[in-house]
Amino acid sequence: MKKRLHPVRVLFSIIHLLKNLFFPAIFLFVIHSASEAKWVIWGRYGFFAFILISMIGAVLTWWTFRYEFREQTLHVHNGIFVKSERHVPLERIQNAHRHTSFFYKLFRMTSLSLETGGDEASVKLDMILLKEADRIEGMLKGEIEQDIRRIHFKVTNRELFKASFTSLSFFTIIPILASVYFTMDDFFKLGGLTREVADYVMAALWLLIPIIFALFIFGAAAGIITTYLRYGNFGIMSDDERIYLKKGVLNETLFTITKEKVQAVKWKQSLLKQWFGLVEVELISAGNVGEEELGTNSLFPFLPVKEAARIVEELLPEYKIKMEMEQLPRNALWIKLMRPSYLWIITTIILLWWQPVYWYASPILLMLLLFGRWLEFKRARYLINGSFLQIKSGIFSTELLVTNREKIQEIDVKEGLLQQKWNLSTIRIANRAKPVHYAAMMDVPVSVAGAFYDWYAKRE
Amino acid sequence: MRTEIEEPAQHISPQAARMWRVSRTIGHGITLLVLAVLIGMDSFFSWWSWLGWALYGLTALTVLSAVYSIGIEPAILQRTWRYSVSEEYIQLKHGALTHVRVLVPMTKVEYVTTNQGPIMRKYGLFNIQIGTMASTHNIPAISEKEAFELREQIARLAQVKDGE
Repeated sequence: MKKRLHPVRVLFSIIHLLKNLFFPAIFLFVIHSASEAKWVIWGRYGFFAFILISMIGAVLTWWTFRYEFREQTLHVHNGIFVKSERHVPLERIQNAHRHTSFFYKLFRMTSLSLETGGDEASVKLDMILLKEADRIEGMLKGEIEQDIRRIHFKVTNRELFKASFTSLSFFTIIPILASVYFTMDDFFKLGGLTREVADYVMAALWLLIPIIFALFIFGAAAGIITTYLRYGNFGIMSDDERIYLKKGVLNETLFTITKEKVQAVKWKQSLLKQWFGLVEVELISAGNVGEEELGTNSLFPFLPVKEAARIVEELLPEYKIKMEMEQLPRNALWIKLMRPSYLWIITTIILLWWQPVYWYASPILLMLLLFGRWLEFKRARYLINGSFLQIKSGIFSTELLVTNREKIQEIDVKEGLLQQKWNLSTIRIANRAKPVHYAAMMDVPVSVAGAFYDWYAKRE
Repeated sequence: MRTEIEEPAQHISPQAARMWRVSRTIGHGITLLVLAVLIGMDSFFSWWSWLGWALYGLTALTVLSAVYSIGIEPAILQRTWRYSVSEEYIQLKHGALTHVRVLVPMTKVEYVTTNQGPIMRKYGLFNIQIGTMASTHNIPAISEKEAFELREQIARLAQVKDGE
């Protein structure tokens, strides 16, 4: 039985259209309200014609978009003039994510994306009833048996509170305040007032203390609220085959992935998170994972390392991560320090050419770069552990990638001129993701590179 | 790098070096021609002075690149290029300065094509392009008969599908 998206979809696309037309409307009808110029008149006709055509388009788009599940395949029909029909085998679906914005929730609707991981875009069912989304996801699962989800993690208020500070989200108030100020400035011309206030505060510097205090409280409050809205209700659940990641208060997202379709697990730690012993764990999927900033595929980004390890082990028992890994040999440090830095060479040439007075910036930059390379050496780790490979790299923030031999798409080993002298190699793996995910480890001993090559050749 | 699994042993065509010399000579010739025209226009219309320097710099770089990539590299590339195709994987090994070895499991191969440009046609040579989920790999300059056989062989071996 072919189904359409919910009819409310038409209403939403029209509202969306009107929202986008707000500024052109102001331009045509408010700013040029008294104008009798030809182009304004024509502009107005065009404006209404555009609205009419777009409305008809919205109805037709909704009317022609139909989907149907038939024998383990999803059929999608769409197109107003050029009809197209797409067949997506259900086993090809790499992950599913739901995005339920606040308004969708009012109508008990959601937007469900099914990701195939191929070249074509995902199938997005924008605006279907929550019940229908549940039915579809149930169908993807195939079996009718009872849904037994285990809960592995549920965020607490305490954790959200901590997260709002480690994510530095209290700085979000700066852009908010700036935009408030400039908007007000547009209407009331605050220039003079600002100068007066600034002069007044400069005259009585103690005033800065309560001002900074107020800003701090305000910032912390804003940070806590944004973190709460974003990560509130965060939950990690799983059943025998699938992993479910849920989050958000006003706008909800739900990410679903089959365990065997997880291509790799990535542990990300910024400097701040390293100090607090927190980690963000990402599940790499071959399909799109929604917008980057939403981080739909990440387990809670502020998990304590131990708890993260426990959760990953519960979700993916075969992903046994060993924290004791191999370090790079001593000569890897020398080669890293010796390698010419094009950034430094070019900067130095430009500097000496234009601003020779500031020559000392060049050695400072060199020291910083060398320090960075030393850190890079210090933090690099790798390990071949049974059929798993672990690669950890980074300068300030670090990334640890854990993946299975079967999930690696291809490998290469490179030896540059310097590396040939020092008996070192660069190894690199490619995993399925969108875009393709490469992970490399520079300057491992040649013998390790050989062992790695053989290890991969022995897959299956 | 020493490995237990056998190193790739197939050579590419001995014609490859000559073919690369011809095509790279043409490429560099065109670049130099464009640069010469720009330099001429520069002195005629007297554009900014730094632009003249930049153009001379580019010309010098092009000449250097020509010496290396026409005079030196083709022979080394031709000598060092190896590939092998077995039931389980495709292996590539090449590199004049940087040594590169690539291992692609046969099950990950998505498609294989042959192609040739006008200069390659003159020498009867073909490129083989092997596409995987992750990237595209190129085996350059193989004689027509070998190239077509190899393409059929890879296509046949890559039929076997495994879990993604």
